[in-house]
Amino acid sequence: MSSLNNALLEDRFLTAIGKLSDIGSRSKTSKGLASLLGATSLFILIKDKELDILLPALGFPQTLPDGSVWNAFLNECVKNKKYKAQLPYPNKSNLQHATGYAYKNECVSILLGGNPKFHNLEKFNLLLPLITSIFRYEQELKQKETDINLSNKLARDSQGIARKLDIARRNFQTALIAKEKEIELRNIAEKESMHAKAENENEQKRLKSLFMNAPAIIAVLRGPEHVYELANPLYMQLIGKHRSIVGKPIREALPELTGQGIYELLDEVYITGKPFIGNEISVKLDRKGRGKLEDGFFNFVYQPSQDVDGKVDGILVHAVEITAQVQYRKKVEDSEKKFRTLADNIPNLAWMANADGYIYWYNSRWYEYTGTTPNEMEGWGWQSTHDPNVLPVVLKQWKKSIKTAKRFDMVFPLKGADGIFRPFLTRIIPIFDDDGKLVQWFGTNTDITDQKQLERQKDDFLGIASHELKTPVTSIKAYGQVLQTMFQRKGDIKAVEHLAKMDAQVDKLTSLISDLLDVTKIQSGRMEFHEDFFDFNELANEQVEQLQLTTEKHTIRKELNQSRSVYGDRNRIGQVITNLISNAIKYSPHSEKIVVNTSSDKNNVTLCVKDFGVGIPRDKLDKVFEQFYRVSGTKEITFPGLGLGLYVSSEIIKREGGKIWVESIKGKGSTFCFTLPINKKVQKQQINTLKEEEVKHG
Amino acid sequence: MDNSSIKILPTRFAGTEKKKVLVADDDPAIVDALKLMLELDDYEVSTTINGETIFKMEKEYPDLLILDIWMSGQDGREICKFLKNNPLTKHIPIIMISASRDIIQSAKDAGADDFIAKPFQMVEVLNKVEKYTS
Repeated sequence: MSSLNNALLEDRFLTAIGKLSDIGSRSKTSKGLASLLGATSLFILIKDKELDILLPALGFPQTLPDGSVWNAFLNECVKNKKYKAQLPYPNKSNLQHATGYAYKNECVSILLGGNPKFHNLEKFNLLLPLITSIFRYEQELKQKETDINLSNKLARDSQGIARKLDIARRNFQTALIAKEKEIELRNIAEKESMHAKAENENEQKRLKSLFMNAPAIIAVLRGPEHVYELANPLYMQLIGKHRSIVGKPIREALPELTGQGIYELLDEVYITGKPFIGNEISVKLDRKGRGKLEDGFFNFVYQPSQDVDGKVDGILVHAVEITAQVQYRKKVEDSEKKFRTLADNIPNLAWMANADGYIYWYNSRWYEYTGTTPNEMEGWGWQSTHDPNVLPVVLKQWKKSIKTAKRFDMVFPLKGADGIFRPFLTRIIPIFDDDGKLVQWFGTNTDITDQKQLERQKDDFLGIASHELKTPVTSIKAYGQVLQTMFQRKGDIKAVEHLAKMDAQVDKLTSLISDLLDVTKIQSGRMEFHEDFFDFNELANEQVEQLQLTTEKHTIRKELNQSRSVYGDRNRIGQVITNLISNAIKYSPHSEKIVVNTSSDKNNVTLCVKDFGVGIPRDKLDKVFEQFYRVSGTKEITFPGLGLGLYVSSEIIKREGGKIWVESIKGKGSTFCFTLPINKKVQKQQINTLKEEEVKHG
Repeated sequence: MDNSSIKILPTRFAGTEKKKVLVADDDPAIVDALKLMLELDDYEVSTTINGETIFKMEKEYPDLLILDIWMSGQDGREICKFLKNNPLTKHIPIIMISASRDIIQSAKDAGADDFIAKPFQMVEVLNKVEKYTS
């Protein structure tokens, strides 16, 4: 067979294959095959399912027990070592799985040429690789076709898929966008929710902090029994830290409130749902847990709180303690009340004014006395109660006081409800604040009618008394002098001396009585002055001469310069000179010299009496002209007198329009001087005006 | 008191008629003391403590009247005025006496010739009496 070329083989093989295909497709039954084949051996191709290849094999028809299948055996083929190596199933058992087709001898003949009966295996074996490769080629071709078909299909499919995919992708993208949006929205919502939650937590914290640190007393009560849910520290501090109240109804937590109306208030708020606002409510609490109730005052609000359905489910208690303020105010009110009571019950008329003098309050005595009304009196209405003649003087001084913030003292008449003017001593005291600023005035008007009456009675009494005293003194003095003359004539010197001493004492007594009388006159404004022109030096000379007679120890030296005629009461001025010289004698027991000096200038005459006696301490200089003031000597030396002489003298000099003063060094002596105006007739008019006012006002 | 209370005393100097002084004061002690004082100087002194007496005075007029300004129940100045307004008595010098110097002016206004303050110095009284009787 070596002469067969490949092209021939191939052609034969393909023809054989075509036959095989026809046969195979015509009948598969064993009977059919067997009849068809009618041969004892045949060449077959076995299709290996696993390798998907056709394997050439020699098959032998064999009726199987079921009588249906031809079995092929691969005796020779499989025995071939060369091929065997290529088979994955080298034993018979594996071949049993293979399906195979038996070919008629005709097919094998076509393939191998010649009569199949003469076909030997050697030839077959030679051909086998070629046949195999042809099968393989065919297989591959078929496979390629299949692959092309498949790829076409795939291409078609993929187009559909691509379309579907595109739709799907679009759908997917739409869905994706929607999903992303949804996710974004969900994130935002989540964030917001987180934020809100945080906010809410913060708010809660803040509320709690506020609640706990609020400068107010706060508690939350729940339910109709007002069970404490919360109470801030101030609340606890208020009711006493010894208690544990949370979770307890108020009636149990604060039992001492029984009967104080608090439970009832809470009940009402709870029932009506209307808040209660209490001002300055008094609540008694056992703050220290000692069973002792303490007074407290509160401003508070009972604010009902509602559940989600709007139903009252609790009460917020918010309170501020104002005990101290209330007590302070009560104290002030109390004090004010006391003051008003006092002010309304004192016998004086009293009132208060602003710093500018605007009177805003009078006590009831004022209205009683004047018969006026507050409306009439407010501010400056008081003027209607004054004597129109005196009013300008009062206004002038009052305005001056307001301007200078100095106290005001004056006596003036005020008209009573009965229309009668009565003298009132008016005192107005400025009241300053802590910074020394004038804030108001407090004034009193004291009816001094009785006092004036008493003063008059006193003056009258003193006047009568001193007059009556003078009468016996006059007769004593007269008898003494008569006796003195009689003894003189008899030559009884001793008796004369005694009587002279007695006479001097009577003179002293007379002088004291005169002073008393003068003071009375001065104070009652009844001292009379009988004025005329007189020679000043002549008067001084007379007085010195007269007083020289009363002292043996002292020498009164006269330094009388340039005599002037003065207009005044000669006797009264003489009285002053006498008083000054008498004092000089009295207060210089250890010195001998007294100097009386007169001088004058264009307008005034001056007289000075200088002694070298005990003197007056500097701080007492101003006081020597005061009533009843007496210069006190050392312990051994006391000076007699009522302390009226210098007072009377200074009053006389003042009334005469002059001035009186003293210069002194303690232990060295004093100089008392006075001046009098020479041309007093001009001034007299002014003085009289002054005197009239004084008489009128005081 | 009636006229009988006025006593006429002997004159000071022999051959000369004593000056007659009437002292009127409601205080008997002062009246008495003044009488003693004046008698020491040889005046013929009559006294009264009743102002009424002076109004009734007739014929025997004194040479001088010392008149207290305050006679009980009567104002000496009224008596003074009465006497000074009476042609029969207006020539009689009147010295008024008072415990208060303030009355000097009103005494003068009433027509008194002079004034002496109580308590008085004997010298002053005698000087003034002599002044108005000589």
